[in-house]
Amino acid sequence: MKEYVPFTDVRAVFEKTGAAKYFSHLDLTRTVSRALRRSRLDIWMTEGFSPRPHLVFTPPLSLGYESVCEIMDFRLNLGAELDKDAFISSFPPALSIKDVYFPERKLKEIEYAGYTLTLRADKPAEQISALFSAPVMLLKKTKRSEQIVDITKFIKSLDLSENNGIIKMSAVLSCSGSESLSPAYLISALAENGITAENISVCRTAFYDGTMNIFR
Amino acid sequence: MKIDMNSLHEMLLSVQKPARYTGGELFECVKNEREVDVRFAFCFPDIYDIAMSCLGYRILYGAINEHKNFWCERVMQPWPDFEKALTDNGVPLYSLESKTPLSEFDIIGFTLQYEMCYTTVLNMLRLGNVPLYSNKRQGLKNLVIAGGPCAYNPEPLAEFIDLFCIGEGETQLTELCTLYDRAVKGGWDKKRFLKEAMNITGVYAPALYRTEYNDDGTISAFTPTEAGVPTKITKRIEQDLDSMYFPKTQIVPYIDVVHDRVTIELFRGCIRGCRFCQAGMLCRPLRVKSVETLTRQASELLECTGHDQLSLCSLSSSDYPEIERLVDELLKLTEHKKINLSMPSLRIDNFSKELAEKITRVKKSTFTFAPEAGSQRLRDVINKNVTVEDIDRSCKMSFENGNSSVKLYFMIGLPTETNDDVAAIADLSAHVVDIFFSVDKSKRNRHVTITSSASIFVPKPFTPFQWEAQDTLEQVFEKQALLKEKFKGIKAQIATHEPYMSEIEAVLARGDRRLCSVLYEMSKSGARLEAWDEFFDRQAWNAAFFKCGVDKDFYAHRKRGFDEILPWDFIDAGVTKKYLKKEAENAYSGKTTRNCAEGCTGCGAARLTKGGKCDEGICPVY
Repeated sequence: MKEYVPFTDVRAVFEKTGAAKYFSHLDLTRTVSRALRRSRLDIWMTEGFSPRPHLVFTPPLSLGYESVCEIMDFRLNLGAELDKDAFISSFPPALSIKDVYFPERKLKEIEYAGYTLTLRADKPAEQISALFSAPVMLLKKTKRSEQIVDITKFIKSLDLSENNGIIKMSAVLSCSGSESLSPAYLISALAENGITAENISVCRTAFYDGTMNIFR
Repeated sequence: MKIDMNSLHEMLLSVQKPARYTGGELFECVKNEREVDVRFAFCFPDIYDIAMSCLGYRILYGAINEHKNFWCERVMQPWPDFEKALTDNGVPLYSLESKTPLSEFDIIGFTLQYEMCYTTVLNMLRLGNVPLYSNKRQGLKNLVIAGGPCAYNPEPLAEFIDLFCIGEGETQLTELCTLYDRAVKGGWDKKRFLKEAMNITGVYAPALYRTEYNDDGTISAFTPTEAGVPTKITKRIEQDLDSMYFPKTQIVPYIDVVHDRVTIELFRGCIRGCRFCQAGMLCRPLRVKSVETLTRQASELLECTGHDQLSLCSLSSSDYPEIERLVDELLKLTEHKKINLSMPSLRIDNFSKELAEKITRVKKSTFTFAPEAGSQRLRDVINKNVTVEDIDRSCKMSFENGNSSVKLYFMIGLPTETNDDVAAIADLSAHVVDIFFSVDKSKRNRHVTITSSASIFVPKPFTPFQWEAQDTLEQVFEKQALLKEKFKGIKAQIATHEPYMSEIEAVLARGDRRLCSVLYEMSKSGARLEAWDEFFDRQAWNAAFFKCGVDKDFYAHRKRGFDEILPWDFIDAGVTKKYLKKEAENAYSGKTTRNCAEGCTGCGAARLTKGGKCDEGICPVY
């Protein structure tokens, strides 16, 4: 039997681009809370000392990274209507909403995230490909530990292409609660191996479940 | 040439809070530069976090942008990390909206909120490659103007600023932009424009005046250098606050700024007449917004911004004539949405239990009271009109309401102050601790935190204390030592402040044109953001005073005679000099003056209103 809850979960997929890539995850939560207030939806609020909307996000992006696939979950009071237009129009352009729906799966089911890295390098794309086809040992930091690991363990796939001297790396990296890798490690791997990269931009493009289906 | 944001990417990633420098927030105003006639860079001489918290900045930004042929953009002083990145990479200071370099703007306007921002004003011009001295800017391009509370003594910046806008800017600034547009289209030279601009009430062009000095350094004459230029500048006020411009939207910052909330302004002016308070005199006559206007404005801004805090702004919010009704109406907007209603500037003597209970309904906050002086004698001298009974009643009420934290604000160095008055600060703080323990245990918290803060009095222009000497550094140190001694064994903390910055503030507040060279020296030495303790450099100031042959004691620690020509005497701020003198004399004899609600005290400010009346009654014209 399903447990009684006084709210309905809602999921939104949004972009974090332009000016939005320069503010932190904490700023994102505040900005989204305000957008929810502006939307005039009947939002379920936490019942603590300082009532606020209940928000869950996909893993934070590093400062300076863009994304076209961020996900947030919030709650409506039970029985409240989901006015999608009001919701979408309450967000600033740098956080445009792509989709809003009632979710059927939990965010925990995300296993991988896809990224596009574009950069200029002083070595050809083939050399970068070759670098990641063998183990790449790097010091990996987590909240709990610091250890030298082979980061290619966390790379599900990596495709490279080169056009007019601009290298495009399409990477699918682990992004679950137990295993995850930031694209920053791919960039440090280049530097560690004598490849100088410039004009680097990073964009998160998709989330996947364990069977590499787009997560929804 | 606009600055390409992509070229700043690496720089932005190397600094703290890069969102301070990107713009792109909700409700920023973006226009097509080809469709506007006047481009206005509104400069705030402090960092983004402070600028975006300033109500006046929001209002004037909106007021100018209401006009479709003017475009007002924001420019702020960057934090030193980004400032260094800009200078290292040869990037000039730019506007947040269109990323246009400062030197490409028609009008560059500064708001002067506090004296310690003066060096930042010059630094921003430097970062923007704009010549500092106004006589180095020949044409109409890069017209540098300034307004705000510190513009009431414009003289320390007289050689850098083309026009000062004295008083309230809602209408004045757009009139100035309109005239500027005419001047550019008509091909006027700068002098003609400056002269014409002085026909706008409250506008002052320092280049059209000359100051002469006596041998003792005091001013002997202040005269126009051109025929047809007025000898007196009357400040500008808005006549009717209900119909006055007020923004329907406000920029919603992405990052956490100091005052991250919706603020509405209850009234301008103050009925109290505390003798040390500059704002209380400058903002007169009293003009009140109606409950209906305030409720509508609060509702519009809360809805469009999504803020979860609403703050009431005025010099003394509990003096708002219909405060209970206003709070009831506002609670209807806020309570069910869990929006926190906050009310700074409450007076100890007149806020009720009901009011206290109402404003803490959503979220509890600390109570802050400002008795300003420890002894009743000194409180009478400064006309604070707060008694120990008032303090007893308010603190008891606040403790019974579950508050266990009270902040008390005091000043040291007030005119006529003795060591007994200083010691009385400790006595009063101890008394507040006693009040806490006298409250029934079942009603109050178990622990109490009383924090007293003693700042240093800075005499300001247009107050009854404008002639006073500020305490010397030695006097201040002595009094601070006494305070610390007296606080031993009391369950209250005392916070004191370093007096060096207050001394410079006192110099700038009552300075004259001879300080321009000092400010220039300071700006050459890289001074900026000096309201921040970490960037205030007293050695640099001493060196600049020495180099320019300026004696800071002359400005800070000298008592002026009533007959002396003061650098700001040519400004009519409403309240008359005669009234200020009378109030100074009342202070010396410890005589209090009633508040305006009890009866007019004849300050003279009501002359500036159309009917010669302020909202508290009819003032006789002096």
